[in-house]
Amino acid sequence: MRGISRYVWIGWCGALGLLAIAPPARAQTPVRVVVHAANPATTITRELAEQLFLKQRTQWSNKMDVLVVDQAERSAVRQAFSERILHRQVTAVKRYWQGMIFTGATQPPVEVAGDADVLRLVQGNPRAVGYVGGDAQLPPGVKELAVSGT
Amino acid sequence: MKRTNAVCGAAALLLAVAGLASPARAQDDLLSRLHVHGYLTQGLGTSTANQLHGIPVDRWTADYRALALQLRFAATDKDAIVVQVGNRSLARSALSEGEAVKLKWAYYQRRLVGMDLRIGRTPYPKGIYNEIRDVGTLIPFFRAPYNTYTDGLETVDGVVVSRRFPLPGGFSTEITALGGGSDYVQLSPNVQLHTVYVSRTRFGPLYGGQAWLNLPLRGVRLGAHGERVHLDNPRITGVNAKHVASDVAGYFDMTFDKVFLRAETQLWQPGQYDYHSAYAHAGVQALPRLWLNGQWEAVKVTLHPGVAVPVPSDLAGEFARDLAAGLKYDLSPMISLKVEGHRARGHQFDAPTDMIMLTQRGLTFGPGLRTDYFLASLSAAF
Repeated sequence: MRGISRYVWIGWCGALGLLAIAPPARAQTPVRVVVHAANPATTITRELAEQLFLKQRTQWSNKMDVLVVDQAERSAVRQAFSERILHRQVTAVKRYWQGMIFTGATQPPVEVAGDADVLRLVQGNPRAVGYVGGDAQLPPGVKELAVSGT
Repeated sequence: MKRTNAVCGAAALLLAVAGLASPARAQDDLLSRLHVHGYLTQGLGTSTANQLHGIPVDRWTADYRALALQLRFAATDKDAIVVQVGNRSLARSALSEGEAVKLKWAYYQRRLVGMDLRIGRTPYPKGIYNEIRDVGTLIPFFRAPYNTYTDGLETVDGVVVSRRFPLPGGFSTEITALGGGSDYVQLSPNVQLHTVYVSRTRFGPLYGGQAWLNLPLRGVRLGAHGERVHLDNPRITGVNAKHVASDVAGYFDMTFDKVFLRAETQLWQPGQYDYHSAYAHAGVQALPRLWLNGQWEAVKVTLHPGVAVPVPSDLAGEFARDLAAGLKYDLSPMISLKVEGHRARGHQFDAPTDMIMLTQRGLTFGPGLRTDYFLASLSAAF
């Protein structure tokens, strides 16, 4: 029994190691991070974007509260954003938010149906940050932040 | 009656805050600030040799579930009231709540300058699983490791403050301080009547804290917890006079998209004995939605010198051990199906037996038992 247990544990450790070092596949859909035109920022690091979208940081550098706008779970742009900016699969992000909810910490960001809704919300709110697909036309009052460190 | 009053009181508090938040706002705006969440885990279980965790021997029970409903009202972007009610049914266990819906949480939350402040009955931030111990979609087995996450100590009645700090080199830390009181429950035997009953004890005042260090490698963190508890219950402590007990713990959590490895060790020193528990969880995503999970958990109890009470002869080894293997199939991030088998042995007890139970002030030993138990469960959250 003891011998079998040892081989089971060795098997577990080997499988864990192989999966841990396997690089994740990255989605190809282009993604742009957008904010209100009044936001003084022009660039954003990937790390800061990750912190904002996971609500690990809740204020802009000018102390204004951040309003995060997310996209629908099954959208291609959400998948691309999750993998490229958050470095997580969408399912892992959903689990992260379940953890936040059921530890009583906070709510996930508001989810909207698509790029048009994101742009409308960002256009109407100087605190907002969202993301859209690469081919979305930015209306007046919305600007793109160049993301560094991806 | 008292329980009903507490639930009604919490609901009234929530409605009052909702009403006071901004009378001029439209009703739909108020409703948009109310968030409703919940979870349900329904289990089906059986045990082979001895009843443990309420699971009966040689027959299946479906009277095994955990559910909760959470209402969060965000009065402003910085203020919220959170109320959670729930029920946990554990078949034949004396700890089962049966059909009763209990108030689990009721607290006010304020976010200020990066700090999270909670006042009221709040979830107890301790270890990897304590706050989510019943959320089936988030944990690899039906429940968090039992000997580490014993019944009770799930909430703090008091104040909990936490803050996250970035550190150089890609590190960050999250520090939590807490103070207040908490309820502890344990099963106690009545040897004469051959029954088991629930013994409840108030822990407090208690004060302590927890720190997590997030490593630059995403998904890897180290944690530590420490607390001091004022106790005056000889059944728990083995000491008649009031005194201060301590609890320290260390954690390791490595959670990636397709693999996780988690471990905790805890040393609880309530009085005349040391209770040292440890567990390790490992899981790997074998197929896109299928996880293979394993658990090892063990407890060692060390009596302090001079304790002249007979104890089981094999206690010098382990007080309890639980080895488990299971499959978790995620139909979606919010719905999971699990099957699991456990091989448990030790001096825990769950039902009166014909064997004599050795009792000692501060710790109750069942006879050395061994059993295998099996659970299938369906979990959903929203």
